[in-house]
Amino acid sequence: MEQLAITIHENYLWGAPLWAVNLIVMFGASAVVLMLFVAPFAGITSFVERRIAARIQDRIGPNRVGPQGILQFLADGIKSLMKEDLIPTDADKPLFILAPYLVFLGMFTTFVAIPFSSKLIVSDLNVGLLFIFATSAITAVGLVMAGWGSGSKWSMLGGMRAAAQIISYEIPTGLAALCVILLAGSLSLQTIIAGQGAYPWQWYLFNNPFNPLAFFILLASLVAEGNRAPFDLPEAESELVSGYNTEYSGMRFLFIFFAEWANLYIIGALVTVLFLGGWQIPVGVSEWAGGVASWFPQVLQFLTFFLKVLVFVFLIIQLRWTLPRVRMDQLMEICWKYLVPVAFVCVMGVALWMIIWPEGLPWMTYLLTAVAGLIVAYYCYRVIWQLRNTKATLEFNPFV
Amino acid sequence: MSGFDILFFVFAGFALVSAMGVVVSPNPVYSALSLVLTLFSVAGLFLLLQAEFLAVVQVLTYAGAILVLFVFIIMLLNLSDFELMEVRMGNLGKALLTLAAVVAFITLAFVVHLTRITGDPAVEGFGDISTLGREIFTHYVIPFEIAGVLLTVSLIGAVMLAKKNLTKE
Amino acid sequence: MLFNFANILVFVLVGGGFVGVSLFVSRLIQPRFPTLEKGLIYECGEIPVDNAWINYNLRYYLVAIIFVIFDVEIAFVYPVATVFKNWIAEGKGMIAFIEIMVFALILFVGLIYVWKKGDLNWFKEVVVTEDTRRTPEEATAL
Repeated sequence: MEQLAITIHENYLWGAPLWAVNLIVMFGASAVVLMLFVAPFAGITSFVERRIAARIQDRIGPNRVGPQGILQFLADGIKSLMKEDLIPTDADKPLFILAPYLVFLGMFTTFVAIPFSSKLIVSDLNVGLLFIFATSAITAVGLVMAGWGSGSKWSMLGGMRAAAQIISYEIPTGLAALCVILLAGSLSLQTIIAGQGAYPWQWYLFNNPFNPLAFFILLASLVAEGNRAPFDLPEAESELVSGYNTEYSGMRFLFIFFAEWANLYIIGALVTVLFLGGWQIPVGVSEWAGGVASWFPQVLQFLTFFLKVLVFVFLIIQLRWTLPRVRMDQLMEICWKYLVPVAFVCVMGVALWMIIWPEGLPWMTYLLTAVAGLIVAYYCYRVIWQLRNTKATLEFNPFV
Repeated sequence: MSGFDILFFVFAGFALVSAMGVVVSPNPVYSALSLVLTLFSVAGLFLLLQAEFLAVVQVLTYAGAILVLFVFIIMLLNLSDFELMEVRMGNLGKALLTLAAVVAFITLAFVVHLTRITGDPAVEGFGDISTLGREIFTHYVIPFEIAGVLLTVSLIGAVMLAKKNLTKE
Repeated sequence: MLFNFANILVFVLVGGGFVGVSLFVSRLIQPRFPTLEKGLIYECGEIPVDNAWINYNLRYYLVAIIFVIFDVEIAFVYPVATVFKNWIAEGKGMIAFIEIMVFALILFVGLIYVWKKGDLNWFKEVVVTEDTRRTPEEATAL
C-alpha cells in the first residue's frame, strides 16, 4: 500500500503532499477491506454455515431470500438495524456499549497484517504475527467487558469463560507458530510465505515430522480462541443461554457475531500463511499469467489464497456441527496438559531438525506429503459418501 | 509542529488522562480498563520511538494477560468490599493530602528534569526484532536465562500464595 | 515503517466509525418503547435476584497467572527464534539451540511443578467439613 501511495503521489496527484496521499490511500484501503471484503465474507459465511448446518441436521435451512436464500444475511442485517436497542437497567452502561466496539476492532485490525497476494497487503508489518496475536487479546478484553457490563449472571459466566479460554489457548498458538518462525526466521507474514513454495512438498507443513503436529495444535487452538465449537463454552446455549451476548440485541448483537464469522477467515488465513504456502503459485503459471496482464498473477495468487482459506472455513463449520462440546475442565486440560507440552516438544524437535538437516530431508518431506494426501483423499471420499447416501427426503411430498 | 509531535502529544495526553482514571475511578473494573488504555498509549509512544516489537508486546501482554488477570482478581474479591473502602476524612485532611501530593509531584518533576540519563546508546536498528534477537544471543545471554529463572520463581510463588488462600477458606 | 502502524490507527478509526455509524442509523429508525420489563436482565423469565458481580472461583486466577508467565516467555523467545536460522548458517546452531532450550526448559520445569501440585486440574478435591446435605425428613418437607 505504501508503494501505491508513492506511485499515486508521483504520477497522478503531484500537487498534493505525500502524507496527504498516504492518508487518503490508508482510509481508502481500510474502507475497501471492510466494505468489499470483510462484511460480505462474514455475511455470506453466516448463510453458508446455516445451510451446511441444516444439511448435516437433515433440515432445509434458509432458502427464501434471493436465489437459494443467499441474500438471507442482508435481510438479517436490515432486521437487526430496525430492532429496538435494549440496554438492561442494571447493566454497566458504558462498558455494555463499548464492548461490541472492542470485539469488532479486535477482529478488524487483524486485516492490516493479513496478506491477500504478493503485492496486495495493507501493510506488511515486521512483527505481523505478534500483532495478530495482540489483536486477539483485544477481543478478549471486549468479551470480558461484554460479560461484566451486561450485569447478567449468564453473561458474566460466559465472559469469564471466554477470557480464560482465549488466554489459555494463546500459549499453544504461540508455541505452534514458533515452529514456523524458527524455519522462516521472520515474523512478517509475507516473508514467511516467501520461504515456502507453491507445491505441497515445499510447504512448511511437510518440512519435518513435527510440523504436521504443530499444524494440528495451531488449528485446534485457533478454533478454541475463536470460541467455535467444539470449544464454544462461553456461549454454550444449553447451559449459559447465550453466554456473553445474552443481553445484547439488534446491531450490538450483530457486531459481536459479525466479528465471530469474520474471525473464521482470520483462522483460515493464519493457518494458510504459516503452513500451507499462502498465496504461492507455481513459477511457470506466474510467468504465463504475467504475460497476459501485469495484474493477472496477483488475481491468481489471491484466488489460491482464498481457496485455501475456504477449505478451513468449511472444515471449521463442519467441525462445529459434528463434534460435541467439551466440558470446561476438559477444555483446560486439553490446553495445559496436552497441547502446551506437545507444542513444546514440537518446537524442540524442529530446532534440532534444523541443526541436523539444515537443508531438509527430501524423502521425509515426500513421505509426509503422500500420507497427508491419503488422509485428505479418504476425508473427501467419506464426505462425498455421506452426501450421496444420506440425502434428506420429505415424508410427505405435495408435488408427487 | 510536525505530525510526530502531534501524535506524541495525543498519545502522551491519553496516557496521562487514563492514568488519572486508574487512581480516581471508584469502580475497580474501570481502573483496570484505564490502566490498559494507559498502556496502549505507551505502546503508541514506543511506536513513535520505532520500537515496534516492544509496542506489540506491550499490547499483547498487558491488554491480554494483565487486564484479564486483574479482572479475575477483582472477581475473586467481592465488589461490595470495595464500596466499603471509601476514605472517611475531614476537609483539613483532604487539603493537607492534596498539598502533599502537589509538593511530591513538583519534587518528582524537578528530579526527572535534572537527571541526565547515561548509558550506552541503543544499538542501530534496536526496534527491529532480529536485532533484538541477536543482542539477546550475544550480549545478554545471562540476563536472558536469569529472566527465565525469575519467571519460573514468580509462577511458583504466585501459585503457592493462591493456594494458601484456598486452604484457609 | 511508521506508515505501517499509522495504518492500524486508520483501521481503528474506520472500524470504530463503521460500528458507530451503524448504531446511530439503527437508533434513528428503530422503534423505542422502553418498558420496565424490557429493562430487566434475562434470568429465565424470573425477576432477577441480586446482581452478577459476585465472588468468583480462584481457578480462573490461577489460569491467568500461569498464562501471564508463559506469555512473557513467548515474547522473549520470539526475537531469539527469528535469528535462529542465521546462527545455524554461521555454524553456531548448537549453541543457539542450547541457549533457547535452557530458557524454555527452566519455564517448563515450572509448568511441571504446577502440574504435579495439581493446580492445572480444573476440579479440585474439596474437603467438606460440614455435612450440608439435606436429611430425608427435610427433603420430604420440601
